[in-house]
Order: sequence, then C-alpha cells, then structure tokens
Amino acid sequence: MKDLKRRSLLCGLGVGVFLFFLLAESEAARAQLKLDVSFGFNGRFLPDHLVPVFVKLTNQGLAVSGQLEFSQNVENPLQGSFKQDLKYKIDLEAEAVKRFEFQIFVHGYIYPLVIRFRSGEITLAETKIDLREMFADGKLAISISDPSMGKRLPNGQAIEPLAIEALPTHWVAFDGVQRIYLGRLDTNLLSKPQQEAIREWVLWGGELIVLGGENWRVQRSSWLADLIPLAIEEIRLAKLGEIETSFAVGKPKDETFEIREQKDDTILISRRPYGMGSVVFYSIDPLKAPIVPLPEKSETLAKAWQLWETLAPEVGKQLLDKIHLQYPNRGLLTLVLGGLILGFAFFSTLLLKHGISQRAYGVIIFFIFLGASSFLVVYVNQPIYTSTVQSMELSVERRFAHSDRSVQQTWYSLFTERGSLFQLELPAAFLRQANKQHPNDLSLQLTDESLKAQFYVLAQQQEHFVTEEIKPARVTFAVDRAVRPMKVSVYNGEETALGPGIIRMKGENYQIGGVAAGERKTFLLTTKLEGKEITDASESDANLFEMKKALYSEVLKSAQDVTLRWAFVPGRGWKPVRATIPGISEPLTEATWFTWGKSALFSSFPGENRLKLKLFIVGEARYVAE
Amino acid sequence: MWQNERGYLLNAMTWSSYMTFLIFIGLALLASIPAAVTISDASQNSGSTLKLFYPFVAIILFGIISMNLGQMQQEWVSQFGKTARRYYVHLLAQLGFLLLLMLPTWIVYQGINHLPIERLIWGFGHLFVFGLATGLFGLLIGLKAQSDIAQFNIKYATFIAFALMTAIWMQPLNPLLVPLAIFGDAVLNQSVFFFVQSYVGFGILIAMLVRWTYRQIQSIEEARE
Repeated sequence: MKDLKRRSLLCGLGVGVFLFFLLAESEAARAQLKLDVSFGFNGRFLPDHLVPVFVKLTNQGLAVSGQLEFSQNVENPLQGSFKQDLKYKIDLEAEAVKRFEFQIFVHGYIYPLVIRFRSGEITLAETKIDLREMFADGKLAISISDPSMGKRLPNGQAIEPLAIEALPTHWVAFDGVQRIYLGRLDTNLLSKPQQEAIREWVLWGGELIVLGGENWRVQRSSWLADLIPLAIEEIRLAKLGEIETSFAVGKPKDETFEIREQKDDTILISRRPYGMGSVVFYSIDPLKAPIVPLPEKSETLAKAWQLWETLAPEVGKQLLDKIHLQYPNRGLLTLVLGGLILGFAFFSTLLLKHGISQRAYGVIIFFIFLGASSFLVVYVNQPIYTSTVQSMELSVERRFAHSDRSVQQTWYSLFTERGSLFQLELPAAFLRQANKQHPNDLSLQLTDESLKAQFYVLAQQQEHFVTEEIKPARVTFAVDRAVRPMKVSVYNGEETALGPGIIRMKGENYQIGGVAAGERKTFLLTTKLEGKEITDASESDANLFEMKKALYSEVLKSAQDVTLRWAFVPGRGWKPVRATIPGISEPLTEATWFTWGKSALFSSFPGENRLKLKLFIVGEARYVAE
Repeated sequence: MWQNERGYLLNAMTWSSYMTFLIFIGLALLASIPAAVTISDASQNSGSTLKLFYPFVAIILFGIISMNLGQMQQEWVSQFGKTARRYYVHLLAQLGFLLLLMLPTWIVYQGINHLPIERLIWGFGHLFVFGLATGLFGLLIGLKAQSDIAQFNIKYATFIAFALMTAIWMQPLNPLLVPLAIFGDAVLNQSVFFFVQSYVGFGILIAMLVRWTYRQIQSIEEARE
C-alpha cells in the first residue's frame, strides 16, 4: 500500500515535470517572434505630435494571438506623471510576417517609447526607442523622389528624403510635417491609401510642392493631375534667360488658381488652395534650372495652425468653465423644510396634548415626513441635479467648395462632481486623439472598430480631448445666381437637424430656415440681414447660447465684436435671445453657409449631462444632387 | 397613566430632542445648499467645504441624540417596560423615527451632491448601525451611572474621545469618516477592506454593548423582583 502511494506520487511528479517542460517548450516556440520598428520619418519626428510607426512582426514559431503595446511613461513636474498605453490586438499565423502602421502621439522626447508584443502576461518581443537623438524642433519637410533629393535643398532648407514604402497611409501621420516636396517620381507607384493620405493632409493644411518640368513625364498620374493647379497640356523645351529647360505648360483649372511667378506669358509657379492647405506646382524643375526660388516659408501652414489653436483644449476649458452647475432651489427647499418643522411642531404638540389616544396625529406626522420625502426624491433626482458629469462636445465642421470632403474638429471636455473611472469610445475614424491636459493613467485601446480611452478623473476636475478627422461632406448647398431673387438649394445628409442659418455671399448675409436630417430644401434669398449681422441665435439654454457665442468668437475671430441681446421670458427671467456678430471675414468661397446642428460622437456615461453643439461652415458646392 | 402622558415615540422628554434635531439639521442643510455656480468656481473648490457642513452637523447630532434616546430608555422602560426586549425594540423604534425625521434633509443633500440614490440608502443603513451603537452606549450609561452629572460627563467625554481617537486609529469606526466616504467618493470595490473593517468593528461593538446592557437589564429586573 505504501509502495503504491509512493509510485502514484512519483507518477504524478513525472507528469508534472513533463507538462512543465512541454509548456516551457511551447512558450519558447511561441517566443520566436521578431519585432522590427521603423519610427517616424527615417527616425526623425516632432515631439507632441502624432508620429508614424511601422512595425514588422516576424513569427518563426507557432500561431500566436496577443497585443502590440506602445507605452510611454511621462514623469513631468508640470504635466504630472502618467502612462500612455496604446494597445492593438493582433493574431499572427505560424511562420507569418506582417507589417503594421500606427500613429502614436509622442509626449516630448525625454521619455522612451517602449513597444512590445504580449500574449497574455508573457512578453514575446520588446524594443525601446530612445527619442532623444532624432527629434526635430519644428515641423518637418520631407521629399519623395527617385533619385533622392538629398538632405538639404539648394536654399539650405533641411529635408528628409523618404522612400515610397516609408510613406504613411493615413493623413494624421503627417501631423508633424510642414511640407512635402514631390520630385522625380512615378506617383502611380504610390498606393491608393498613400495618395489619399497626402490629399487629405493637404486638405487639412499641408503644403505639397510639386517640382514639375521635365519630371512631369514621370510624375503624372490621375491623382496628381487632379491635385495640381494646372491642366498640363505638354512638356516644352524653352530657353529662359541663359538656361534651356523643359516647361510643363498648362491652363489654370479653376478660379482658385493663383500665379506666383510668371515670365513672358509662361507660368513658372502656380498655386492652388486646397482645403486649408495648398498645392504649389513648379512648371520647371527648380533643382535643375535654379531660375525660380524654392519656397522659403509656408503661409498655408500658419493658417492651419490658427485653426488648430482656435480649437485647442484651452478654449474648451474656457467654455466649460462658463457652464453653470445647477443646484436645487434654496427658496423652495426652505419652504418645504420650514413647513415640515412647523407641521411636526403643530401635530406633535397636539399629540402630546391629547396623549396616545390621538394616534391620528402620529400617523399624520409619519405621512407628512414620508410625503415630503417622496416629493423631495422626485424633485432632487431630476437629471439636472443628479448628473455627476457635466460635459460638452463641440464640433466645427468645414466643408470646402472644391472638395467632397470636410474637416472636422471636435473637442470634448468633462467635469465630474465625483471621482470616477471613464471609458470613452470613438469611432475608428478618429485616429487623432490629442490631449494637452493629460488624464491620470490614460490607457488607449485600438480595435478595428473603435478607439477606447480609459482614465480616472478626480472629483471636481476637468479633462479635455480634441479629435480631428476628415469625413465625407454630407451638408451641401449651391446658389442659383441666374434667377431673381437668388435661390439656394440645400441638402442635409447628416443624422441631425440643422437650425436656421445664414448664407453669406459677397459681404451680404441672408437668413434661411432649418433643414431636417436627410432633407433637401430650396430657399429664396430674400431675408437680408441688416448691416453686418451674422446670426440670430435663438437659444433658450443659456449654456448653449454662451457656447454658440464663444464658438463664433473663437472660430471666426471676431471676439471683440460679439454682443448679446437679452429678453425677459415670463417665468424664466432674463434669457439671451440674440447674438450679433459683425465683421466676419471667412472667405472660403464665394458663398458660405453657417448653421448649427447637434451631434454626439463620443460614448456617453451614466449620469452625464452633455451639451452638444456643432457649427457647420459650409463652402458652396458646384451643384446639389437632385 | 404614564401612557397617556407620554407616547411611545413622542413624549415630553423626547419632543425637545427631536425638535432641536430638526431645526439644527434644517438650518445646516440650508447653509449647505450652494447657489448655481460656474464650473470654473466649482473647480476652485469654492463652496465645497460648506457642502460638508450639513453631514457634519447631522451625523454628530444624530449620534448625540441617539445616545440621549438610549440614555432615556431606563426611565421610560422602568415605568412600564419589563423585559430587555422592550428596551431594544423601543430604542430601535426611536432610532427609526429619528431616521425618518432626517430623511427629507438627506434627500436634499443627495441632490446637492449629485449622489446616486443607492449611496443614500447605503448611507442610511450605515447611520442606523452607527445610531444603534451610540444608542446602546447611551442605554448602558443610563443603566450603569446613577447621577445625571456622571452620565453627562461620561457620555460626552466618551463620544468626543471616540470621535477624535478613531480619526487617527481605527478609522473604519470613525463617526464622520465612514459616512463621508459613503456620501463622498469611496469606490466600493477599491475600499472593500475598509468597509469590512468598519462593519466588523461596529458588529463587535454592538454585540458587546448588547451583552453588557442585557446583563445590566437582567440584574435590574432581578433586583426588582
């Protein structure tokens, strides 16, 4: 019996050791994972911006599932300590090689970025990027050309030559890029996502410099032909001064065209505003024929920065600060509590006077308190009082006349009465998530469908987030100028109704009505607003009204000119009813439509009181589909 | 008859306590209601200390009045109560009535502090436990100490010493810290140990007080027989 026990014990031990080695072997097999990282633009990057990161995972072992983590620990006395984690779930087949592209918001350059692949609790591969060596102190200029344009242009400007495969496929990855020089390169070799990334980056404020001339023979593609300001007709050899060189000769495509340099009826440099950015086309290659100067300073970029600054979290903070927290009415509560005390005093005195035989008084007291409690439960549990999170979500969407896309910035600010753990969920399209006031222990999880941000907010604290995206333009309008009075056709393809708005055309403002979601409408432009007045912002909610006013002020840069009119609303007291904002100078197109809508993009929380507002600044479309 | 002179819950002795309690907590509550403020002002913590005024006054007064009610049991029961059970049932009924009187003000407090209703129910449960402990303590003093002066001194000295000492040691038993955690930002799943300590501590305290008071009541009854 004793032997049997010992044998069983030994058997068990043997099986345990075997399983241990089997598992260890299996881990070792799984651990044969190689992680290669290509960071930034040839390693260069701009701190506090989104940076492209290419990760190549080579799995030489068994199939494995896990997550790729990008982690940065920031310990800054000014910003506070926090950890940013971006997680991306990945399945790797056996013997697979996969390449992934990410855009990582890099905080400063002091704190290293750790990239690791984890399966469960086991780290299978890890690499650490020291950011201190390759950071840039200003926005980058990159070049794409074959052969390479080198590291410096003849005018001394530093550029970063990129190979085609190092070009990101999402526009936000160019966050830290000021300008792209396109040299001698067959642009058909760029993948469709790479082409769209550059187009959208320009739309958002980037500057694409196309060095044409002889290069055009190689460069041309339908994508590039659509972007440049000229419709190129031929490449002609001509003499310019002492130099004989090839000219790309073409005609301007539309009214937005702008000549920068011209000689003897030959357009040398042309520029076309595109969204908030621009495309500059050199009809000769200035690197081969240095008779025209290379651009020194970006103007469009300054404009783009202005827009970014208008929607910076500081502005969100200012707006959030102005929101009023509502508490139960002190007068009403005084009345109820006073009534309770008096009622108690009265009936208890009667009860004491008449003794226990007068049980009715006791019952009355009991029910008075229960009744008052029931009333108060209903009164104080109105959402306006019980909401623990006060938040606002404000968006500005701009649609440009010559593009079927619009750029949208959304800021989301929250203030919580009680310390809470939050999880925000964004659609996957919102890849840029920049927060200047970093929450404690921010953790980001990116899946195919969404981006989840998890963080803890202390009581009486604020947090702010800003997102940017480029999306299909769903709100369009076109003015028929051939008829009198002029007629405007509008289409609202959004899921939210649009309020009454303003059509601003050549310095004149016309008021038009609201448009329901999915509705097409035609308005006659007859109601001209007096003077320079831009809007009649009827809004019964004082907080929303304040935001409308602030958004106009900030986005349209007429802060000093905003005036308010108040009206006495019976039962509600003085309410703001009208904002007059003169002096708008927003010449996006010949006609612009300003209108308000409400939309919510971020996930909401229980007990959240969110103010939602969206300003549409819509450039005129060539036509509105019937 | 005694019963005609004094009710089960409301009588000439308890009436003034209830009335004082109602007036004081009502005033404290009104002082705690903030005016509509901007988030900017709220972020700078203006008014947040005022918000604590009500729970501070209500909890302290509730503790004191519970003690007084406990202390008064001796006199009340000695006239027409015979068994220990009647002492406890009467004490529990009075505590329940006290909680009923407090209910409207706590509901308002819930509103001005954006508390979920579950927190209010939890807080009320905790206050009942706390009130039971102080009530039993009052009952013990009433049963043991003979002179009114001694009762007064022991009652308040012990209450103050308990409140101060538990602010440093054995915080889960502190009369203010635990309710303020419940009505404040305590995250239950992160503070389970704290609350387990609190309820185990109160459980032991109440068990000990019940044992001592029960013995005392028994000996009084035996002496009476």
